Amino acid sequence: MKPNEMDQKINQTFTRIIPDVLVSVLSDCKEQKGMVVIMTQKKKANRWFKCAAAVAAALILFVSGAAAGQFYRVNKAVASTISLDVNPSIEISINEKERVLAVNAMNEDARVVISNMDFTGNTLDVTINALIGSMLRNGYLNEITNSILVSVDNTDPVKGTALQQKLAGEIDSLLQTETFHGSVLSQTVTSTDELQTLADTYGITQGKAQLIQKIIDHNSFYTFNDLVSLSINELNLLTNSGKITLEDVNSIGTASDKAYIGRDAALSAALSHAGLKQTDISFSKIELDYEHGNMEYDVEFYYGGYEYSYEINALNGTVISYKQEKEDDALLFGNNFSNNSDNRFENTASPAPTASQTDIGKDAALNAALNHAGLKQTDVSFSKVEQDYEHSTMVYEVEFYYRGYEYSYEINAANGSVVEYEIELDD
Amino acid sequence: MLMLYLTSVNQISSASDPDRLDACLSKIAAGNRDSLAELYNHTKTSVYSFALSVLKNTQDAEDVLHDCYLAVYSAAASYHSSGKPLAWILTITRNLCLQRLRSQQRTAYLSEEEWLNLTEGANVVSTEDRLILRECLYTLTDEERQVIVLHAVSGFRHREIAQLLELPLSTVLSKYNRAVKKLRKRLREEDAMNETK
Repeated sequence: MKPNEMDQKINQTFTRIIPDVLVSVLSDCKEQKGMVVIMTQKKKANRWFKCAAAVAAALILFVSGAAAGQFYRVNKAVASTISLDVNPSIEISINEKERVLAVNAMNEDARVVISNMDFTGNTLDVTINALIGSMLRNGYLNEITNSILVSVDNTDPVKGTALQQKLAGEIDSLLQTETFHGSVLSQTVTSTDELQTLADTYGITQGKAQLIQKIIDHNSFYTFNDLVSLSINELNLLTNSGKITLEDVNSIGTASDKAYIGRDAALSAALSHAGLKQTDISFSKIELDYEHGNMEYDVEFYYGGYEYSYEINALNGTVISYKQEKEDDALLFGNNFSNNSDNRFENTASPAPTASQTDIGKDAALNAALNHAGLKQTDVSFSKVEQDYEHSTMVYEVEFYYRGYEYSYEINAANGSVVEYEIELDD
Repeated sequence: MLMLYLTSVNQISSASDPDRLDACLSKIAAGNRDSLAELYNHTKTSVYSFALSVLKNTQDAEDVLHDCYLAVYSAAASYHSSGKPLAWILTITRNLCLQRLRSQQRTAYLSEEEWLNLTEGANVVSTEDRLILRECLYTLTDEERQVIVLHAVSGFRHREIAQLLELPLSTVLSKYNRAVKKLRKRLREEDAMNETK
């Protein structure tokens, strides 16, 4: 039995055991969107002495209640919530006097950091000091991962901003160690239902959810799903590399990239693969990016009228994928790729192909791709040959597989020339 | 049998049609419950199978199936399309499963009674179905089971599975191959036993 036959059997088996919960889902969604609170009207008291007694009782309750309320507001009520995110994510609730009411671990790493320490009633300064110390001792903050996010949620924005600045400064001084200097991102958070849903859905703090949302707002190629598993250091690196200035996020220090091979090594890996020297090429960009579940360097340069684009694994320098295309095609969409490297994939409004245009046909397109790859039809397993219309030109998109690699070609339908090709490790 | 296979193939193709699912999600973000129903019908097999492969307990998997679409309904406004709507939905599924496992402090297994109810239900018709389900749930490791279900039921590519499960691609490939080999071996053994009877 081949793997795909086994896949079919598993698919059939699981398909037959699905329970149907749609009715209950729709019913619960209705309740969420349109919750009705039934108000009942109380009967009025109709005797004067009942009124007097009620007034007296209310006065007593008011006086004692006001005192209790004041005591509660100052000592027991949550005045601010502060979250610390590294990879450990911790939430600290404090009262108006900046005494700690609770410290909550938001993930497993945070439980390691907090261990058996009880901070209830301690000052915020002492608590922050102890938690940062524990993160350093347990290796969560070091020369490779040096970034921390501090988020302050306070209903009073002035107080919130003041606390954010104070904490960022304190934590920065704690992270000026002998072996490394830290990088502190800080922000105020305004709790919303959307942030709370994201935090609950992904098991993160609202602070981290807000930071990710801000990064996505600047770069729509990322998704929440892509970024949620990254550490604060990796998010910090992405914003630095993409030259993103996040509104209302203060940054002190520089995120460490010591876990990665570095920009020079990434360029060397790409040049070595292309068989070129640095002196041969004219240069476009090297940027750290996150794609395919990996941190990678996007390397782009020009040589001999072609644009070379590489994705280099940032951890080990292996070539994840590469592409070589005629610079003329790139010029159709402008020379500046540094702002948006995916411009060339956008389909601009193009005129429909005319019937008189020469068409070499699918077989010839396949042969052109195979010739370019130095392969025979018997060598490869097949995916597709499809006609498409791009860059005002009729093309054939040809895809096939050979020895674990996926070959993708765009062949000019009029003359069989290779417009673009890509060779990628197939999964 | 052919009809059943075609049905399952259609579900894979509709679940893997990102444009269609993206369109549903944008309407759901505006509070459209009909689109939620459409999304549910296209993706429920992937969500339930993945939840069952993580939780190994039908009641918990059914609860996660329910909670997942409530979460999707609430969070649809924050979804930004990157052409991978099913991966987004299955990430929510995975997080709900992990929350459930954490709160229970255990990996829940099917009880004998649940197993009988499941396999004697009208839907699971063949002996081979029962065997495959049993071996998926009991013989494979957690990661092997999740990898093969995501590939076979949701039609995910190995790279996408690696991303979703936060595993290296090479690990996903080897776990998939090992899982297929294990299942194939068990089916062969079962066939041999039936022939000797």
